[in-house]
Amino acid sequence: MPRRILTRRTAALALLPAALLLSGCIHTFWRTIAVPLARPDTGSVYLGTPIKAHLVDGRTALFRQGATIDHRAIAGPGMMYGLMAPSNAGTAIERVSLDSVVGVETFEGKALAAQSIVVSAAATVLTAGATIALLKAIFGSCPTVYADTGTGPLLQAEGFSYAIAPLLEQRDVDPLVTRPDSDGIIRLELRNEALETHNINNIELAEVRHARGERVMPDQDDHAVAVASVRAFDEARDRAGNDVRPVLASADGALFSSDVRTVNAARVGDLDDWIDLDARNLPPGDSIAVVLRLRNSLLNTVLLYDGMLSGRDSPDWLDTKLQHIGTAIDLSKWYTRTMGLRVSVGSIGSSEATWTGRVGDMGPLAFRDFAMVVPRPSPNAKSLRVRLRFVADDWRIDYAAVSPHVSRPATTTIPLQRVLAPMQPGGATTTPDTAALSALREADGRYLQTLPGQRMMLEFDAGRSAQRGDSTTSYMIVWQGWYREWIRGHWLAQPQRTTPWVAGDSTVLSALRRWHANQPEMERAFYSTRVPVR
Amino acid sequence: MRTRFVVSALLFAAGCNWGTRPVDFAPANGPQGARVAARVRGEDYDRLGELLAVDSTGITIRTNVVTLIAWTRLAALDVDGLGNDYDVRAGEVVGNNKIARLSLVSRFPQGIKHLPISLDSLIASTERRTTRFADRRVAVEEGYRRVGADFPGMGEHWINVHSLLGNRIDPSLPTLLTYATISGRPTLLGVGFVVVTRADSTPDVPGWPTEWHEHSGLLADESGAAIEPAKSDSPTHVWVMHVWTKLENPAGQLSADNWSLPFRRAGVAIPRAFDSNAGRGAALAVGGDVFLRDALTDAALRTPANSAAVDSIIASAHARATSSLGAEPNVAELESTWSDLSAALEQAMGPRVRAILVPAHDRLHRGDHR
Repeated sequence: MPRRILTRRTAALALLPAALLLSGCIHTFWRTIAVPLARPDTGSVYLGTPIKAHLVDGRTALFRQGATIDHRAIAGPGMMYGLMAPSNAGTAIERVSLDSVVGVETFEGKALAAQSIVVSAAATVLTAGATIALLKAIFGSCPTVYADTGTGPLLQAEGFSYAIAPLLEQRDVDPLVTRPDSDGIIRLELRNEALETHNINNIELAEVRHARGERVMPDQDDHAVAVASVRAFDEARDRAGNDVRPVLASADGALFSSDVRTVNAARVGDLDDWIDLDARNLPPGDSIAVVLRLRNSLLNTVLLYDGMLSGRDSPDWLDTKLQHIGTAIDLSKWYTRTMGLRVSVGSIGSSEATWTGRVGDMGPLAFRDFAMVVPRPSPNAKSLRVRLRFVADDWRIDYAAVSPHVSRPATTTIPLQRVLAPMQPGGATTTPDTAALSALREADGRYLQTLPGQRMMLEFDAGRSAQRGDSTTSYMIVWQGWYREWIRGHWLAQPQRTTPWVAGDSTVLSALRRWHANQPEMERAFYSTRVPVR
Repeated sequence: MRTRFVVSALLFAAGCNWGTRPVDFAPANGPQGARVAARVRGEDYDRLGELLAVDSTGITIRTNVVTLIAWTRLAALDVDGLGNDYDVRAGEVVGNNKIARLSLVSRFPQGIKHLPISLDSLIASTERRTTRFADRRVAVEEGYRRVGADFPGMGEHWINVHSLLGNRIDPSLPTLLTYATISGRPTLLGVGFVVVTRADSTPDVPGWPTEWHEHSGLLADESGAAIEPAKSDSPTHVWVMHVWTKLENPAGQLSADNWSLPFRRAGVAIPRAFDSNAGRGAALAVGGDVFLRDALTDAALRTPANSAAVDSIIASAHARATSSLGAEPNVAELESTWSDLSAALEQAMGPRVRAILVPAHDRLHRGDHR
C-alpha cells in the first residue's frame, strides 16, 4: 500500500509542471486548516424570573433572584444541588456554563402564588445516566399515557398540549383503547417523555355505558357522546379543490395535510386552509356528529419553539409574562382567534353558516377520536355542508365521517385508586406512592410534579361488569394540568430571536414557512427522540 | 249583473279594511313588540306572548316568563296582524332577511344583548342560577380552575377561562367562583364577574365603576405579595366584581373581603357586630398566620435576618387568636390581637409592612377606579 501511494505521488510530481504550463498563467494554491468555532457575542439579557438550570451531570442550579444570560453562561448569585440532593444541601455558585446545561426552567418564586407540589417517589430512581439521555430529546411532547393491550405498551393519549403556564391549565378528555383485567383493574402507564416539568392536578376515568355498535368519544365540550351509523361524507374537498374524500373515508393512517399551493399562498390576513364536507340523504333528526380522528402537525410546536422560546428572554415569557393576567388574556384571545379547528355548518350551495364552533389544538403526538356535535341547518334537513377551517398545515386528519345518530350516554367517574412508582430504573418492581395518589385524586390546588424520564403506573378499579347484555362499556381518561418547557442551553447560547416576540399573523406565517421548509427533518427528529423513561 | 255589482261594491268597501293599518298595530304606537304565537318543536300547543327580540340565535318572547327559543327549536311562528312575510313556516330555514324583518317588530330591535341589566336583577339571577356549583366537581367539569392563594377574607378563586375570554356578564356562568374548605369540605361562597377593557375604554356593565376593582397584574402580586402595583405594557385591564351569594357579608354583598369567613372556617358563631380587624384577627387562627408569613416573605420584608423574630410575633398572635375563638368569639380580644400584631410587625420591619397587613387586593378595591 505505501509503495503504491509513492508511485502515484511520483507520477503526480512528474505531471505537475506540465499541467501547470498547459492550464494557464494564474494558479491558486489552497490550504485548509481547522480553527476553533467562536460563538458570536450576542449580548446579554438580565432576567428577573427565578431560574432553575438542569445540568448534563444531573445537578441542578437555582438562581432565585434571576440571572444574567449571555452566549456562554448563566451568571448570578445561585445555589448548586447534587442529583436528588435535599434543599439544604446546596453550595453557592456564581456562574454555570451553557455548555453544561440540558435545559432551563422557570419556577414560581413567590410562596403565596406557588402551587402545592408533590414529587413522586418515581423521581428517586432517576440517575445521571437518565439525565444525559435527555440531551437527545429535541422537542417536548406533553404527558403521555400508555396501556398494555397485549402487544406491549400502546400510546393512548397526550394530555393538555400547549398548557405552558399555570393560567393556561387545561382539562382534557381522551378515549382509551383498553379494558379492565380479570380483577376489574384498568392500568395505565403515565410517562414524562419530554424535556418538560409536568404539573398534573387530577387524573380519573370516565366510564361510559352504551349500546353495542355505538362508539363513544368526547365532543367539543369534552362531554361523552355516543355515535352510530357512522359513514363517510359524500364529498370532501379542500381549499385547493382536491378531492380528499379517499384520504378521509377511513382511519387507515393515510393522512390529510394541506396542499402545498395553499401553504404557499398563505399570507398575513389569510392563513387558512379548509375542507368542505358534504353529507346527503340524512335520516330525520336535529343534529349530526362530525366524527374525526386527528392530531396537530408540528406547526404549533415550531410556533412555540421558534417564536416564544427562541429568544434569550424566553424564561421571562414563560414565567412573568404568562403569569401577567392581562398578557395571558391577550395571548389567549389571539391564539383562540387564530389557531385550533373552526367548524361551520350550512346548507349545500349556500355561503351562509347557520352554526359555528371551535375546538382547540390537541397536540402532535397521539391521534384523538373526537365528535363535533352540530345542529343541522334546519330540523330534519337531509343534507348539509360542514366546513373545517384552520391555519394551513396545522392538522393531520386521518378520518372524517358523519354520524346522523347522536346520543348522550350515562357516564360515571372512576377515581384513581393506586399509583405505583418503579423502585429501580427500568425495573418492574413498584411501590405504592400515596403522596402522588393524594395529589391526583381531586382537581384542586395540589399537583403531582413529574420530571423528564419519570414513569408510574396508575390503577383504576372499574369492576367486572364491562359487558352486560346488549350494552358495553368504554373508558376515557380525564386529566388536568399544565407544564413548563425546559429551555435548552444552546437556545440561550445562540438565540434565533433577538427582538421581542409578538403574537400575530406574521409570526404564524414565519413559523409556517420554516415548518414547511424543514418538515421531514423536524418530523424525524420529533417522533424518534422522546426521552427514555426509567 | 246586479249581483256582480253588489259583490264588487262589497269587495271595494271591505277592501278599505284589508290588512293591518299602522294605527291598529300596537308596536307602531307603543313600546311593545308584536304579539306572536310560537310553536316549539315537540310541543302540541302554541306559546302566546310578546316578541321581545330576534337575533341569529333565535327569538326571545315574553309569556308569563321570558324565554329564548333557538331557531333549531322553533317549529313555526305566527305574528299577529302581519302577513306571511313575517311568519315562520314548518321546516323553513330562517335567513338574515327574515331575522332583520322580525326584529323590527320586536320590543328591542337593537337586540337585548347590550341592554343595561340592573345590579339587583343580576344578583338575583346569579343566586338562582349558580346553585349547582355548590358541588365543586360540577364547577371543575364546567371548566373552572383554581388560581392564586386562599385569601383569609375571600377564599380560593376559581376561574372559567372561556367565560373570561367571552367577556360577557352571564349569571349562569360567572367568570369566578369562590370556595373555602369548611369542615373539611369545599364550600361555595360566592361568585365574581370579570370584564376586560382595552386602554381607556369603559365597560357597560352593572355597578360600574363603584363596585368594580382592577386585577390586571401578576398572579403572584394579586395574591397579596406586592407592595407596589404590578406594571405591564399590556393595554388590557381586568376588572372584577364580587357577589357573595352563599356567605352573608357584613360589609355588603358586593364587598370584596368578607371577614365573617374566618369565623365560618373556625366553625364558630359569626358575631353580630365586628369590624374587619377582628375578622383579620380571627383569620390568624385558621390559616391567616401562614398567609401573612408568606406574604411578608414574598414582599422581601421577612428576611433570614428577622425571620425568627417575625415568626415568633406571628405565632404568638396565632395562639392568642385561637384562644379567643370559643363558641362565642371574643371580638374585642380578636381586634386587639390584630392591632398588637400590626404594631409589633411594624416595629420589627418598618412602616412598609402596612402595605401587606392591609392586603393588596383590599387596597386595589378601595382605589384605582376610573
